[in-house]
Order: sequence, then structure tokens, then C-alpha cells
Amino acid sequence: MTLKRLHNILAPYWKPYSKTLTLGLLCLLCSSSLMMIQPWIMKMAVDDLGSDHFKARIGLYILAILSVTISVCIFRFLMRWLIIGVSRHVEGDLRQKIFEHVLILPRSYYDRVSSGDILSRMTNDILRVRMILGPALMQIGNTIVSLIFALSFMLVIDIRLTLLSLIPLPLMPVMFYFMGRKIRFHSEQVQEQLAEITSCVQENLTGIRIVKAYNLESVECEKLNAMSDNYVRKNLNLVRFQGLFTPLMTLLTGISTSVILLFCGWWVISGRITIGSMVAFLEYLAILSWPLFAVGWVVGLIQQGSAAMQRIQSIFEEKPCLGMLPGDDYIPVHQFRGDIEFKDVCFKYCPDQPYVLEKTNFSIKQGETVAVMGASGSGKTTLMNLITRSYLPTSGTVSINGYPTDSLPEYPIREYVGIMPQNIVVFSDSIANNLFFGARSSDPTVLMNALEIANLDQEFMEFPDQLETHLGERGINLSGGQKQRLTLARMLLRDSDLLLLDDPFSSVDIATEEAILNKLLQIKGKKTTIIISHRMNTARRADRILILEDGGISEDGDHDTLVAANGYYADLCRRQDLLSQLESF
Amino acid sequence: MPRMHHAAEIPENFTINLSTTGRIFGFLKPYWLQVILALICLLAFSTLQLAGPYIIKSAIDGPIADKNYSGLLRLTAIYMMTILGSFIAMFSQIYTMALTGQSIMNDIRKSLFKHIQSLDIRFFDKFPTGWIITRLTSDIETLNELFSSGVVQFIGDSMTLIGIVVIMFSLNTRLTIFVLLSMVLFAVNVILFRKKFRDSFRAVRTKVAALNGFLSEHIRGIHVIQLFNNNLKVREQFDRANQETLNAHLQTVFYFALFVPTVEITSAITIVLLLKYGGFMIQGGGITVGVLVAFFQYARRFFRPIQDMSQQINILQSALASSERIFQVMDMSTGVSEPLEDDAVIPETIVGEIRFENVWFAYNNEEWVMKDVSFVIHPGESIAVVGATGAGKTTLTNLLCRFYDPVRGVIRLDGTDIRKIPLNVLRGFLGLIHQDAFIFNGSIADNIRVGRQGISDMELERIAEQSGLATFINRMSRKFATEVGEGGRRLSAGQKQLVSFMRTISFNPQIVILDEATSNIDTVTESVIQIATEKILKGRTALVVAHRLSTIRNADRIFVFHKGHLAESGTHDELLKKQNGIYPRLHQLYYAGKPG
Repeated sequence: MTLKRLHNILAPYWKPYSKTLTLGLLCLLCSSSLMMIQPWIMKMAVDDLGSDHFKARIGLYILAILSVTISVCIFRFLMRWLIIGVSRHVEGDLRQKIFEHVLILPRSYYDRVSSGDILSRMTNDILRVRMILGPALMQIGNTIVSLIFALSFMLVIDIRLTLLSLIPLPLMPVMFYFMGRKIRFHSEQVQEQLAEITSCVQENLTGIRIVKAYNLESVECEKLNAMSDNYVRKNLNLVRFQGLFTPLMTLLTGISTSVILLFCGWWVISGRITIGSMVAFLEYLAILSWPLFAVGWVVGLIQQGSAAMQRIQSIFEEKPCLGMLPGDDYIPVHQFRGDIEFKDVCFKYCPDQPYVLEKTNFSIKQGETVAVMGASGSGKTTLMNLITRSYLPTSGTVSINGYPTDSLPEYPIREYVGIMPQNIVVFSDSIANNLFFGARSSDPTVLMNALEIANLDQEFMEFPDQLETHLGERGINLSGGQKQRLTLARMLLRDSDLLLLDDPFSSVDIATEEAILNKLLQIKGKKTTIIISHRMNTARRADRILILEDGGISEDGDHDTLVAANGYYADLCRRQDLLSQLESF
Repeated sequence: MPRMHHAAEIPENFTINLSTTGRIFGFLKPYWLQVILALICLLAFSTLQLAGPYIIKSAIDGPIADKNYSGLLRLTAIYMMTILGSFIAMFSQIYTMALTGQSIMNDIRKSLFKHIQSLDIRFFDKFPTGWIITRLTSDIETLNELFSSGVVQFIGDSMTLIGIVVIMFSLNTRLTIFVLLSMVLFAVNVILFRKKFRDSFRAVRTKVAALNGFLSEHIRGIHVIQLFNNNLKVREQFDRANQETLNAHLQTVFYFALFVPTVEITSAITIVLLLKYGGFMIQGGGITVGVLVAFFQYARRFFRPIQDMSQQINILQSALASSERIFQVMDMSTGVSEPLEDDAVIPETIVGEIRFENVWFAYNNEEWVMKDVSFVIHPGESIAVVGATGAGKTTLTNLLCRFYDPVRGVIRLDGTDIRKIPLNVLRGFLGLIHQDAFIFNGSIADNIRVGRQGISDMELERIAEQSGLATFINRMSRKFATEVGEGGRRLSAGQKQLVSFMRTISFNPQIVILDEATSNIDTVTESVIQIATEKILKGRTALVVAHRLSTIRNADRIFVFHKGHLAESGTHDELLKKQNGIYPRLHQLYYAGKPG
């Protein structure tokens, strides 16, 4: 990435703070230039040490030194506060923008990119970008100002001396840059070796039973020992460069100092310069060494920061969903009835994967209760994903109330459906906030109703803080069944006309399931309900049962019809019967 | 799941635990020579560093004042040499200490891993993989900081401080007292800010952790947010957390921005004091110009070590926390213990009779998964174990391999309590084929040899022949040299099983424990597996958790497990005849209509 491109990408983020940033840079200019005056005052004071002026002027010098220092400090404070502050603001803004964008990215994006990756963009990469706008910017400014001022003061004192003392200095940034590259290379090697150790240990822990069964403990130890030795070697390679850093810096400044000592001494003896000039020279040299050294550091920061920004940029380049926000509902929800139709629907998750659904046809009328059954992997969840428009069919049409989903934005569809997904998600928040997650009303009677249906009313009220009880990491852990019933209540609070329940009772015992189902079917009224299930007692209550097999609907009808048909469903009934017989032994 | 992660966090008020410190330094012992070398280098470096300003002082007061060119040249040469010397000393110190630190880490890593290998399966059940890996990696890295920078730096800094004070006193007592007074000022400053820093850093850590937790939870649960049309509300919540993090950061920036200038002011005050009193002293002839210049330089060097030292304390604290976690693992002992030496029975060979006598077992206290199970398996007999999920089949194999010991009852091999046979001897008689065939990264040959380099290629061929898998191997792209990838991902589930079959055959065990895989396997591989299974079981005592009808049919007897009991046993035909039994139902449910 070129600097220009980096600037273009970053500009929208720092633009809102351009005033603050300019002010910060001004403070930097002031503080760095004032810093340069101090050695000059020292020079004058030291020059006067031997003379009679000293007594008269000492008060002046002290005043000058203190006032310069205090102003430097004030400007320094402001500079840091403003510039680093802006970089923190930009960090926050950038994080916010990424989050807002990932919130509206389609499901297919999340199939492709791991959540760990996204998190790493929003944490590590953002920090690297911040380093450009904060520390790197500050250091660049400081280096430029220090260089200009120190050089001009040094030049005023003596031009040849300046040139002589500066001979080793240009080596510093060059050295820093090349050593920085070496260090990065070796630290990558170290990281790789560490990753290798990690995966070796991981492998060992996963296969620990085999390791033990075959007495492989010592073999495994030897394997780890070899890797560990290798890791030590690679670390020492890194230290060879990293450890050279500070010593080399000291060496280079030391060489400059000895050059000054020799020549200044010589010229002081011959009377060409004063002893004060010599002291000032030594001071300037000390001031200059870090800014010059830092150039290489800054180059590294910018390189890492722009690579990070590029990775962030790739998230922004992802195309978002059709319409995921309020205002995207240009087809009014109240026009929806409850008819769903699948027409010649084919679907696969990836172009290079086999079809999950092939030419699936069925329709569901408003108010129907439909159970969907089939072996795992037969496409039951896919069916729901297509109705909620989490995916679009590869070919064919899914339509809700006559509207094909590919022309409908997500927002109205999801206003219309209430879903209980198979994998249970409960947030580390209060029970109430989890329940009201996306709820349409906060009416307490509605809430109590939903809790009652989900058989949670008593359980939750027994908690010390009742509905304000915090869940997750810093709170209590619900059991699997409680979590599942919580997500049921959450769905009910959406008060939607189409209910989709994906294996809703997998963690709930049969008796509770029966109780919940009874209440659910009682209140559902005209709501269309689709339930994916493995259990007979759910299916038996449905108006219709759909069996998914080999990418399509193989059986369709009520319990009695399907039992009579003596197909997949009938077989399932027999198996469940056997299982319950076994249970009774 | 274990609740150990909380214990792993650094306690709020951390105190330095002396016994832990002692144990850490125990690891330092073998490297005492290196440590002394590093300390000598450090001493040399500090001395040479401090010599610099002194030489400049001598130059100003000596040759420059006396107009002595050759003297100046000589002092410059000495200065150059000290610079070069300090370069060498500093680098040697850094390298030696890194070498020591790395060696110690290597020792700790190796012995920790060895210890973990010796622990019983309960340990691995209890602690998640990630937790164990963290002990072996990041905790050890943190401990490394202590050696490579912490300890030596601390000693070095204190030596520098003492050196500076000594030199300053030797130059001039009154000026030194001024410098020391300003140091008090500096120390007060550091102490004042230290609490502010600690509090604001803690706030940042908490807020960042909360924000990252929020992010990770909501990105993982993104589909729920989207399906519930709850983007805006989540966005608001995020903005709040983001804003709080920002504020915490800004507060830290504020304190830091304030702290740096106060250090500079302190240093300026020192300079001013030196200039004023030093100047008057020069006027009065008390000291030379060179002494004052040297004081300026020493005063500047005075502040660095103090600042560093306050940082070392943080390193020390987190290193101690890490080492406590490491020692916590090292102090765990195995629940499946080796027999005492006098008690141990080491059979040369066995005939292979297995006897369970009233065995009870629970993974968690009182939740019995095996209840009063007794049976005898005769030498050479093959037994198929069947039962519904959770009936206790896998527990049977776990107990026989001594992954766990029974809570009550005895398991005997050829009449000997297996707890009296050393673990490696016992396991040497057994060949376990696990349900999810475990495959290591490497070639197929590596996976069969598992470290036994003595097995020649010829023998590999023979093993393949014996298990009826020569054709299978010949069909692989590079035969035995075929790389299988991490976790064997380049092999199909069936192929993985075949490789683990060959591994077992290569050990030529007297007893085979086979936990048949349930995963779907294509019909071709299925029939290969069937043949290999027959060959492997032939002539051996075998205990098979069976999922294939063919395996059950070929077994000499079938054990039917139900809810932790051995409910029925007999041959396939015998058991099928019992109309009201469990077996006919199991058979219908799991085996009838399946391939094989």
C-alpha cells in the first residue's frame, strides 16, 4: 500500500478531528523547538561560570531554564493529550464502523470467515492502525522539528564540528530499519515455532488415550523436547538481533560523543570555541539520538499499520444484506398473511458442494401447524434458513404470501417471523434483556404469558434478582433446558405471525415438552407454525408432517396417513417405540 | 466443565509468595555460572557507562584546561574504549541472560509436559485443552520475562544507582545531596502517579475485556441479532461499551501526558539547583567546571533506573502469578497410580484371561455408570459388547486400559489385579483401537511406527499383509510415505481406521480392545474394514464395542449392557431367542438392515 493510498483510506477517520490534530501538531512544534533552547541557555550559563557576570546573571538563567521547561511541559502535555486522544477517538470510530458493517453482512460471509478473524480485525488490527495516527505521527513530527532545530543550533556553533559529529548518525535509521526487518523475520520464526508447539500439544491432548494405551508418553516427550529445543534456538537467533539494538545505539552515540570530545577539546584549547559550546554540543547530540533512531521504528509502525488497514478495508468491501434496518420495509408487514410456497427450490451452500435441496415443492397455508422431520443433514434447517432469507435459493423460488424472497429485503421478513434457532444463543446480560431481545412490547402481562408457556415463570422468579439476574460469565449459568426455554419465550415476545422452531425441545424432557406444546398450540390461534423435530409426540400434534429425504419432500400428510403409508415416518414410529420399550427395562 | 479458569486469574491484591519464588530460583540453580557471568557483564557495563561523564570531566578539567593535546587524545582513546567495552559487555549480558532464561524455560516446559503426560485421564477430562496449552505456552513465556529482563535488569538498575551515588559523593558531597533531594521529589511524584496509573490501567483492562467479550459473543450470535431485527439496539449497546473503553483510554492518556512533564520539571529543578550552587562553588573555587558538567550528566542518568525499577515490579508480579499456575499443575498427582515396588507383578507373557469382579464405577461421585459388573473372558475368546448409548460400553474399555480405576471391585488379568501390574507393562499387552481413530500429523508409516524407528519398511509391508490391507496401502499415492495432514484430514474416516488397525497389529498385542466407529463409511472401505477386523481379532482375546452386524455374528459371545448392568450374555442366536429380552430390540434398532 502506498502512503498516498493509506492517506486516502485514513482521511475520513481523522478529518472530523483535523482541528484538534492541527492544534496537537502545533503544540508538538512548540514543545520540540522550546526543548532545543534549553541546552543553549545551559551553554551560556556554563560559559559565564568562570566570569564575573555569573552572579548577576544566574537568576536570569534559572528563570529562563524553569520557564522554558514549564512551557515545554505544558505543550508536551497538550500534544500528547490531543494527538494520542485523537488516535483513541479514531480507534473507537473505526471499531464502531466495522461493527455496524459486520452487523448487516449476510450469513454466507459468516460461513466463509471465522469469528476469530473478525475479532482480530476489530482488536489487533485496529490497534495497529491507531499506532500510525498516534505514536508514529507524534514521532515523525518530533524528529523533523528536533532535527531542524538541533542542526541549526549546532551549525551556528560550528559547521565542521556538526558535520563531524553527525557522521555516525545517519547510520541509525538505516540500521534500525534493516535490523527491524531482521527482527520481524526472526520473531515470525519464533511465532511459527510456538504455533507448532501448540499444535503438537493440542494433538497430544486430543489423542491422549491413544498415547497412553500404546505407552507413547516418552515418544511424545521426545517430540516436544525436540520442538522446544528448536524454539530455544530460534529465540536466541532473535535475541542476537534484538539484543544488539540498545548496545548499538549506545555505541553509535558514543562514537559521536568521542568525535566531539576530541575536536571540541582541540578547538577549545586553540580558542576557536568556548567550553560552553562544547557542553551544548554534547547536549544536542543526546537530544538528537533518539529521534533519529526512531525513524526506523516509525517506518515499521507504518508498514504494520497499513497492512492492518488493508485487512480492515477488505471487510468494508464485503457486500451487505439487501435491507436489514428499519425503513427497509417498503413492503408493509401487515400485508403478509401466512402462506409459504417452495417452488422447484434447489439449494447448496457452496458452488463446489452437493445440493442440499433438489427440486423441493410444497406449500403451507396460514394457520397450519407443520412438523418437519428427516435424518440429520437432510436439509431441515436449510428450509428455515430459506424462509428467513438467510440464504437465497440457488434456483427456484421461495415465496411468502406470494412475494418471492429474492425481491424482499430481510427486515420485513424478519418482522414477520419469530424464530427459535437450533443453536441456542444467550447473551451475558440480564434475563430480562435476553427475553426482550427484539421484543415488540414490554407489557408485563405479555411477558408473564410467554414465561408461563415456556414453563419458566416459577424458575426465574426463584432467582435472587428474579428477571434482573445476570447470565453468563459474571452471572449464573442456566441449564441447557432453561436456556432453550428462554429462547422460546424470547421468540414468543416477538409476537410474530409465523413461528419457526428448529428442534426446540432437544434439551427438554418429554413431560415438559408435552406441557409446553399443549400451551403453545392453544394460544397460537391463526399463527402459522413450523416445527423441526425428532420426536413422535411433537409430530403427532401437527396438522401435517413433512418428511425430508434425499433433497426433497418424500412424505406429506398427517400422522395416520403417514403411518398407513408405511414409509420413513412409520419406521421412525417403530424405532421410537422400541426405544421406549428399552427404557422401561 | 471445570470451573478452574477463575482461579487462573491474577488475584486483586497479589502478594509475593516466598515459596513460589524459591521454587523459581530452584530452576536457576543449574545455570549459576551463566548468571554470574551475566552479572559480571552487567557490572562491567554499569561501570563503563558511568565512566563516560567522568572521562569528559577529566578532559575538561585536565588536558583542555592545561592545553595538553596529547592528553586529550589519550582521554578520547580511553573514552572510545569504554564505549566499545560497554557495547560488548551489554550485549554479552543480554545474550547470556536470554540464554539462561530460554534454557530454564526449556527445562520447565519439558518437565511440565512430562508431568502432564504422567497424569491420568481424569485430568484431561477436567481441564480443557486450551487451559493446558496456556500453561505450557503463555505462562512459561511470562515467566521468561522474569529471567531475560526482570531480575537482571533490577540488579543492574540498583547497581547503576549505587554507582552514581558513590561517584557523585566522591566528586562533591553538597551537590550530591541536592541531587538526592530532587530524587525524593521524583519518588513522591512516582508514588502519587503510581496509584492513578494502576487504577486507570485496571479500568482500561476491564473495559477492553468487556468490549471484547461483547464483540465475541455478538459476532458468534450474529444470526440471532439479524433474525430478531435487533441491529439498532445491539449497535446502541456496542456504542456504549465502545465509548466507555474510549473514556478509560483517554483517562490513561491524560495521566500519562501529565506524568511525563512532571518528570521533566523535576529534572529541570535539579539542573537549576546544580547550576546555582555549583556555579557559586566554582566562583568560590570549591569545584571545577568539569565536576559540574559531570553532575549534569549523572543527574540525567539518575532518573531512568528508578523509572525502570517501578516497571520491574509489574513484571515480577505477573511472572509470579504465572509460575503459581504452572506449579499448580506440577503439584497435581495422578489418580491411577503405579504399583508399589514390592507389590508389583511383572508377567513375562499372558494367556489373556480377563475377569471383572463386582466392578462399580462413576465418573462423578455417585452417578454410577457401571453397577456391580462381573464376568470372565476366557483366553482367545472374542466378546461383542452391545447396548444403547450411555449403557456403559466405553467405560468397560476405559477401565480395562486403566484410564480410570474402578470405584469398587477388582479387574484381573490372568488372575492378577491389574493395579499390581505396572502401567506400561499392562498397556503393552493391550491393543486399543479407539472409536475416533486418532491420527498424528506425518506419514502413514509414522503413524504405524509411532516413534519405534526399529520397524523396517519390510516389516511395514508384512503388517499390511497380515491385516489384509496391502491393497489399501498400494492404492495410496505414496504408499507408506503418504502424508496424512493434521489430524489425518487428508484421509477419509474409514482410511483413518485402517491406519489405526495397522498400528495395533504392529504392536502384536495379546488382547485387542476395539471400539468400532459409528461414522458412515462407504461400502468398499466397509468391506475392507470387515476383513481387517476379522484378521485382527483372530487368535486374540478381544473385547469389541460392536456397531457392525458382522462383528456381532462372528463374536464368540455377546455382552448386552443396559443402564450400567451386564443385562444379558450369550451367542447371537441364543440371545435372539429370548423374545422378551433387550437384545432382540437392540438388534432391530441398531443392526438389522445395516450393511455387513
